[in-house]
Amino acid sequence: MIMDSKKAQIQIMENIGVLVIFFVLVILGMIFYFTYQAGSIEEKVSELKTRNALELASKVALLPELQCREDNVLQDHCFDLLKAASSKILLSSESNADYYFNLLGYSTIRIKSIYPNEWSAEIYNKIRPQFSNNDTFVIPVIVYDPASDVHNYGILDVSVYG
Amino acid sequence: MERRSDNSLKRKAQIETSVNWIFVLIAGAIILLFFIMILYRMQSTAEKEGYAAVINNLDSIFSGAELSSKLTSLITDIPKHEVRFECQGFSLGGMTGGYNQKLVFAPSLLQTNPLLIWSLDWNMPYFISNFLLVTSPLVRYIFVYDGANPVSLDLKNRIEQLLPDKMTKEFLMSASGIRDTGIYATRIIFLERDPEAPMLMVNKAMTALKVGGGNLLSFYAKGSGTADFQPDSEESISVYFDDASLMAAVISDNSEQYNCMMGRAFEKYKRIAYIIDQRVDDLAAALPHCAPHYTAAAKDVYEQLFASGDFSTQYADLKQSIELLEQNNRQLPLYSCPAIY
Repeated sequence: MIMDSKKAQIQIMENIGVLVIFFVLVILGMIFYFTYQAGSIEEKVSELKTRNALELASKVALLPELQCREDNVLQDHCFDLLKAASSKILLSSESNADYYFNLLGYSTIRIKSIYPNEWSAEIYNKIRPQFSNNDTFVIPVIVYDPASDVHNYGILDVSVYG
Repeated sequence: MERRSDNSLKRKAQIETSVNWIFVLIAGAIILLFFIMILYRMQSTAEKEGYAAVINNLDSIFSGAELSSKLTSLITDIPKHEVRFECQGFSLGGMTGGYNQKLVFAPSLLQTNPLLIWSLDWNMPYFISNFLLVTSPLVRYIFVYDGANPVSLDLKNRIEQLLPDKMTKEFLMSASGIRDTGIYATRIIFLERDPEAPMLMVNKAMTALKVGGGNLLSFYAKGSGTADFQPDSEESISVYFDDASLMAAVISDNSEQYNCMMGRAFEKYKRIAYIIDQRVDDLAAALPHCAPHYTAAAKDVYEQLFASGDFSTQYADLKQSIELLEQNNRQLPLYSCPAIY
């Protein structure tokens, strides 16, 4: 009888052991799965950051505060020099800080005129504290001076902080 | 003695078997419950991923559409969901997306498949922004006009030219004969006519807009089971300034969204007005021979925008200043001076 009782106890312990191992395997499987998911999410986040940086560069190139228009018709890849000078004041004003931060985020935007006249202005600058990386996009543009009616070759420099 | 021990052994065996089965059942139920929980979580995550994908898609579509003006696109590759559009953004299944400073006019509830996106440039008189008008061919727009009223007829002709082909629209001279076609939503726009609810659609909820004299707009709504249109809120009266804002009012099915977006549009207008005003001052300073030809019209527009009151109270003064600015801009090339815009 004592032997039978011991056998029964051993059998129960066996069953419990099987269950424990089963759950351990399931938990291990879940850990691997969630680790893979986390890696995949990080990749997606990185893709989104690059996409956002490209979107920002396009957005800046088409800001009505900067773009050249003739009778309201948009001139592609052209920045109005006088508008850019006023925009520098507008984008850095306290009253518009929230609006432009929501639009442009942590980034630095520079417009440079290279030829024939040299001119440069930092239109917007908001550096992320303790940023880990930044993507910079340089786009060739025309910088138009309406006072002298000169179209200068220039570049738009957009740095996005991640 | 032997009999007693046999009986006792049998009883023990019976108890052991029963306990074993109970144990198996409980363990099995726990394992089953565990896997059901995992499946439920996975389904919920997959649903949320689907909603997030739709929100992201819409955001990308809006970003792309904003960059071009006078663009019309019919989008059919988004999964079919009902998206809610509000002043702060749009939402689906608990997930929300923001407009990111875009000016988006849409009905408060909209099916995403098919989706019609239409961008119009808003010039006052210089370019301020593109208005993104979001609707669907599943929304039926009925324009009721008065053929004997030249203003109503003119509005009808202007609107007919502006509307994209893929929009579901009808132009009628009376609302009384309008029938329910089973379409997702109906909006009736009365052009210089008082709103009248269609008698054959008493059980259908719908919205209405009255476009009146003096560029006035009145927003109405009717619940299902009610016979008449009522103002949709305490601020159901507003104004439109040009074709773009008129179309925005046609597409927005409530005054709250229209007024909210137009308020934001006017905030953008103030910024651009500052830039234009400074540009005029810089041009006048750089070109002394042109200085006398730049009038104060640009400055007037800038100053009027900062006058007290919301945009609907500024209409009359602003309209006059805009006309003077247009006049000034047209004359400048005659003096070989750079245009204001």
